[in-house]
Amino acid sequence: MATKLRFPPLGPSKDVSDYPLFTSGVSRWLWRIYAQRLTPAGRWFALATAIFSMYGGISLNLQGYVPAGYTAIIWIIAGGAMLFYRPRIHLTCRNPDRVCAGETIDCDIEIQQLRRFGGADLVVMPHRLPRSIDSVPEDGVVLSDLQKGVRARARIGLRCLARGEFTLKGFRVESGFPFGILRSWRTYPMQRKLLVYPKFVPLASLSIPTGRRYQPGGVALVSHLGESFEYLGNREYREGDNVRDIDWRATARSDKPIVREWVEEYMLRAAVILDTHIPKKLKTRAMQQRRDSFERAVSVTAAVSDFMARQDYLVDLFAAGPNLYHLTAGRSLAYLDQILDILACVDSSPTEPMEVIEPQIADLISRLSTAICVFLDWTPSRREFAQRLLREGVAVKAIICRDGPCTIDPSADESFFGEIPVISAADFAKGVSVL
Amino acid sequence: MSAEPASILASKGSTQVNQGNALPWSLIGAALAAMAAHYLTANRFNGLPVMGVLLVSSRLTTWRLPNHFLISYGLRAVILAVILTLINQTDPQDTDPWYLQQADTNLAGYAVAADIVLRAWERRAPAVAREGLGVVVLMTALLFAAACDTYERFHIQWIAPIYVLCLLLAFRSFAVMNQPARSERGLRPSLILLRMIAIFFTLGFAGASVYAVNRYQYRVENWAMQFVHQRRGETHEIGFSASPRLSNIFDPQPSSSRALIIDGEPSEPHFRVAAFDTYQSPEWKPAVSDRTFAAIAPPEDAGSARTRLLKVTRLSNTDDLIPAPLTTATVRTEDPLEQDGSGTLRDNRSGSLDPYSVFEVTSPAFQGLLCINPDKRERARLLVVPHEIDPRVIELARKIAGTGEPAVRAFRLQEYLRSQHAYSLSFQPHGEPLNDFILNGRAGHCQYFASAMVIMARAVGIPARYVAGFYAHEQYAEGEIVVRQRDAHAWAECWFDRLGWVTLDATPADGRPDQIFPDPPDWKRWWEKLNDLPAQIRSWLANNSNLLKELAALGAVIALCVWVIRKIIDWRRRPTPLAAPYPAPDKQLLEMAGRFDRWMKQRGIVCPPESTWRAHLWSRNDLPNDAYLNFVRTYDRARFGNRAEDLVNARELLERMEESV
Repeated sequence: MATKLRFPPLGPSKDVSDYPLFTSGVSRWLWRIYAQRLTPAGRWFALATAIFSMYGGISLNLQGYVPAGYTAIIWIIAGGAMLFYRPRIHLTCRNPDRVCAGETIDCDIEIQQLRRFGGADLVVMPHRLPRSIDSVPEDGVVLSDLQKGVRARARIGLRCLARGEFTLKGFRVESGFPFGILRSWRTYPMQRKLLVYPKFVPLASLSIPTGRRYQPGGVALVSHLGESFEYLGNREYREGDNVRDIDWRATARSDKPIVREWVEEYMLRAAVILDTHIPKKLKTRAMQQRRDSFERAVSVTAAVSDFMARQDYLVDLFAAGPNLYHLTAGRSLAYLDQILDILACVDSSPTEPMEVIEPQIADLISRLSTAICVFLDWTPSRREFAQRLLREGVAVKAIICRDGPCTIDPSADESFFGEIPVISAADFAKGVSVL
Repeated sequence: MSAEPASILASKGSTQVNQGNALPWSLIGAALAAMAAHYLTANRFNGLPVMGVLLVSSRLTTWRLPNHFLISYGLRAVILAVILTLINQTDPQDTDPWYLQQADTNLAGYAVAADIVLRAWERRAPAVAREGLGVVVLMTALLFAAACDTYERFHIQWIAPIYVLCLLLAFRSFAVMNQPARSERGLRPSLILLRMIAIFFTLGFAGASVYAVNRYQYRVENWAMQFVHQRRGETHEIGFSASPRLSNIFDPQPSSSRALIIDGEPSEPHFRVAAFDTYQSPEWKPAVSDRTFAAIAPPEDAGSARTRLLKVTRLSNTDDLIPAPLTTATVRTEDPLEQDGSGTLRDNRSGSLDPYSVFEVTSPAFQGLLCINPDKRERARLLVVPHEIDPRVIELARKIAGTGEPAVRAFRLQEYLRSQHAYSLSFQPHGEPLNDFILNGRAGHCQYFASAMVIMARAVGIPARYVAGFYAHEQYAEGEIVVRQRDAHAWAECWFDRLGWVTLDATPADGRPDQIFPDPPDWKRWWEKLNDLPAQIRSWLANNSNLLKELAALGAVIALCVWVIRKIIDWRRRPTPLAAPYPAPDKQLLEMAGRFDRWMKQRGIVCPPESTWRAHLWSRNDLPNDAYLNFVRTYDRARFGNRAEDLVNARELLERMEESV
C-alpha cells in the first residue's frame, strides 16, 4: 500500500507500529505516552511544568519551586487516577466489512455504563487504527454523562484512505478524569477484517475486441428477459427430440414431423490480466512514480472488471502479477466481488510476472476469447505475451498506466492490438470513462 | 439495570463554539493570578492592573482585533516599546549575578502579560482554537515563573494555589473543544463533587509538600546536593570544634553523621585536626579563624617502605582543616595546602570536600609533616601555665612526675590521670574547671583529661599542647574505617628533645569513643551506603571517563555488529512475500480447517505454525500420507480455486476420515 504518510499524526486513535520510525518498543512507548496518554491540555501543561521545574530547580531561595511543587503533585495525582480510575463499560459495534478507498464507513457503537462513578468525560474511539484509516472525528466521540446501567449510542466514522485488507483492533474508551491532562483507558478488542477496495470510476464504454473462438461449454445467456436460444432452422423429427420443439405449422405443411432446431448462445469468456511488476532497483522518485502508476492500474482494472460484470462477459481468469485466479462464480454473480477482493490486497511484484503466468494461461487459453491486459509498461516481453495470445485466437485489449514514455512506443503496434490507451496521472485525475 | 439508549451522537454533529472567541473565565483567572503575583514581585508596575482590566473586558465583548499579521505584530512592538519607556530597567539593589537579573525578568513578565492580553483580543480560527488556549496556558506559566524570581515567600505561596486551581479548571475547556455537542444535562452533581474533591485534595497535598520543602529547605538542599556535586554531604549538630571550650556536657550521641571515611588501616587512631597552645579559662586558643596560615608544598617523597597510604574522603567540612595522624609523612590533595606553626593543615579552597591522601609512617616516633620543631618563642609559649591554674596543681604534677627522663615523667602523669580520674560525659565545675577537675579528682570528659595533661606536663617543664581531632576506630568495610562526628576527641601532644612530638592520650580507655558509643545498627550503615551511591557513581564516572568512552565506543561497535548480523539473518530468513495475498477463507473453509487441525492433534500430529499442512505431512514418513494429503490437496483447491465441488469433496473426505476412526 503506497501512502505518502511517513510520520504518525498526533491523533490518539492511530497505531504507530507500522511506521519505520517506530520499530523499537521504547520509541513506540514514548510516542504513545505523548500522543495517547497526554491530552492536548496535558501536553501544554507538561511544557508549563518543564518551565517551572527548570526555574524551581535553580534554588530553593527563589520561589520557582512553589509552582514546580504544585505541578509535580498534580502529575502524581493524575498518574494515580490514570492507573486506578479506568472506565468500565459494555460496548458493542456494527460496521460493514467492505468499502471503497476514499469512502467513510460508519461504526454504530452501543455503550452501557457499568460503573457508578465512571461516567465522567468518557470518549470512545477506535483503538490503534492502521495508518491509512482515519477516525472521524479524530479525537473520538465524547459521550454524554452516563449513569450506571444507562446505554448510549455513538457513531464513529472510519475514513479509508487507501485500498488493502486491514485488521480493526477494536475500540478504546478513555477518560481524562479528574484534571484532563492524562488519559486512562480500557480497550475493548473486537478484531475484525476490513477490506478496502480500490477507488474506481465506472466506465461508460469499453471497446472489447472479440476473438475468433466459438464458445463451447460456456454459460448460457439466461439471466436477462428476452435473451434466449438462437433459432438455427428446422429439420425432420428424430427419435429422442423433445416434442415441445415440434413446429406444428411446418409439420402440417410437410406431412412429417418437423422440429425447430436451436443453438445455445454462449457468453464471451474473458481474462483480465494486471501487470504488477515494479523493479527493485529503482531510484526513490522513479519507484514512487511506478507505485502511483501501479495504484492507477489497480483502479483501472477494477473499473474494467466492473464494466464487464455489467455486460455479457464472463471473467474466467484473473491474473494479478504472478498469481492466477480461476473465477468460477458465474456470470453476473460474485466474480466482481472476487476480483475486487483480490485487487484490495494485490501488491507489486519485483519479479517479471508475465514469464510466470504465461505457461499457466497457455493451458487454459483454448477457453478464452478475450484478454484485457492492464500493463505498467510496454516492453518486448509484454508485447510477446500479447502476440502469443493473439496467435492463439484470443482478442487482446491492452491498456497501459504509466507516466512518461514507455520502453517501446505502443502506437507502433497498432496494427496488432488496435489503439493502446496510455493513462497518465493527469488523464486519471481528469477521470477515465471511455477506454 | 438497563434502559433504552440515551442518545445518539452523530460524528458530524454540531461542535461547541467558544462564545465570542473569548478565553474561558478559568484561563482568564489563571492569567490574572499570574499578573497579580508579578505585580507584587516587580515593583508594582501600574501597567499590570491595566492589562488585567483589558483582559477581563475581552470576555465582556465579542468585538475582536482583525486577524492580520501587521496588526498583530505591530501592536506587540508598540506595547513593548511603551513598557520599555515606562519602566526603569536598572535596579541598584539587584547585585546577585547568580540568578537572572531582576530587571530582565520583570521586563519579560510585562511583555508576556501584554501578549496574553493581545491574544485574548485576537480573533482565532476555530481550527486553531485549542492551540490558542495552549499558548495562553504557556504564557501564564512564563508570567508566573517570572513572578517567582523573588526571595519573598508570602504572596507567591498564597497566589500559587489560586493560579493552579484556575489552570486546572481551564483544562476542561480543552476537553470540550472541537467535540460534538454534549448532553444538555451536563455532568452529574456527584461527578462535579468528585472532581472538586480531587482538585482540592491535590491543592492541599501540594500546599503541604511546598510547606515541607520550605520548612526543611536546608535538609532538602543538602540531600539534593549529593546528586549535583561529587561530594557527599552530611549534616551534624556536634563534633569537632575549631575553638574548644571546656564544656559542662559532652554528648555527641545524637550525631552519628559521618565526618570521614578512611580507605586503609591507620596505625594511629588519633587524627589530629588542630592544636592549641594557649589556655584562657575555660577556652583553648587561638581559634583557627584567628591564626595565620602559610602556603606549603608537602614533600613529594612518600617516605620509606614503612609508609602506609590512607585515602580520606571528607563528608563534612572541618573548617577546611585536614585531619591526619601525627605520623603523617606527606599529604596530597587537589588543592594547595596551608599550615600554621602548630602543624595544623588547612585546605586553601574554602568549603572543599575533595578527598585527599595521607602517607603515614607506621613508626610512632616518626616526625613528619605535622611535627614542626618549636623555636624558642614557641617553646616558651608551650611551657606557660596560665595564672588561673592553682599552684597546687603544679605541686601535684611535680609530685606525680617525679624525676627522670621527660618522657618517663610525662607517662607517669598520663597514667595518673587515667587511673585516678573517672570518665563522665557531664561535668559541673566549681570554680575554675581545670583546677576543680585535677585537684578534686573529679570525673570528666576527654577535653578535661587532655587539658589536665597539657597543664600538668607544662608544670613539670615539658612543652605540651592541646589537640582536637577524631578517634578513628569504627570498621566500616573491609579495609575501610569511618569517623563519625561523635568520634570527636581531645588529647595532648608533648615535645621531647630527643623524640620530638608524641601523642599522649590521658583519657581512660572506657572514655574513648570506641568504648562509649555502640556501633550503629546495620540498617543505618546500609542506608549510609545507599546515600553514598550517587556520589560514588559520579566519582567513578569522573575517574573513568576515558575507560567509559572506550567502553561506549566498543559497545556501539558491538551493537552495530549485532544489528547488522541480525538484519542479515532476518534478510536470509525472510519469508517469500506473497505477491498478492489471498482473501480470507470463508466460514465453511475455516470450520473445516479447524476440524482437520483438531483431528490431527488428536493423533499427535502438530503442524508447526511456520509450516504448511502439505509440507509437514510430506516430512512425516510414519503416516499414511495419501489419506491426509488427499484431503489437503482438495482443501487447497477449494481454498484457492474457488470451485464449489472441491468444497463438497473436501468436506466428504474429512467426514470419511473422522468416521474411519
